[in-house]
Amino acid sequence: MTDLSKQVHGIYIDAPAERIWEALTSSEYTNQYGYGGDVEIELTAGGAMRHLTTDQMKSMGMGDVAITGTVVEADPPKRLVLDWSAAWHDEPPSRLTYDIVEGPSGLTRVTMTHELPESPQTAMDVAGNADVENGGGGWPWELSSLKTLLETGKPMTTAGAQ
Amino acid sequence: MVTYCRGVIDEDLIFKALADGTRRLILDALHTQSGQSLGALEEIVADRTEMSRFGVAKHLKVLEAADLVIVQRHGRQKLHYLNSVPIRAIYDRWIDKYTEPQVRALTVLKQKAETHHD
Repeated sequence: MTDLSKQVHGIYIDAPAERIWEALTSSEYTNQYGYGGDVEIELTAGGAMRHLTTDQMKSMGMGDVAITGTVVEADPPKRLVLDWSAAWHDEPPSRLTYDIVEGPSGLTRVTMTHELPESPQTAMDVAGNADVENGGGGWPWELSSLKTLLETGKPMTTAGAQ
Repeated sequence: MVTYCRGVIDEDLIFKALADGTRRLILDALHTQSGQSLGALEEIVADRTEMSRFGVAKHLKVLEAADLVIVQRHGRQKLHYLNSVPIRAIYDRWIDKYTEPQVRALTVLKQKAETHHD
């Protein structure tokens, strides 16, 4: 049995921290990578976050919202902490943390830590598997597509998104 | 030292890190249970092969330099986590692009052969 209760994902992106922050928190970007869909986020402690579904997700039977959350800490462009719930599972919220550190060379390190001790089904989905075409990519794929978008300008939303 | 080429961890570092049985064993152990101490990993390696704590620590350094392992502190403990993002990138670069249909067919064939064998 694989223990997925705490997942750590790291990636280097050739972009300033501010742009990565924008990409995580504005719909202009979130529709161009990962699973797509608008994001609504109030960037202050206690603020609400909603990641809306795409038409493709709706056609698969999902409602209007894919992810709901509460902002625990927002320190742009360095740190974003959320209580994060997947709408497709009835499980307790998990803790999602983004740490964004810009290096001297202009290369930025994004470390995402997802703690889901009480959300095993969500944990399995976000860990990702080989079935990217059917939406199984999870965080590794989502972060790879974020890097591709910011470094090449090429939108990358497949995976059951469009 | 970690070297970067245009915002990417050098692929050579990743392939070199993967080109060793002990390091693959460590990655498999972290895939089963991410967030392990050096001591716990040393025990897992000791079950398979004779190696000092220093040897295991050296292998972990190579995996860390290739960004396949991320270290986080928990109080006084240093825990090692598997970072599957570079593996995803290798997959996209080397498997997805060129050979996925073939690889998929072979994987299915292998699974079938092994199921029949059981």
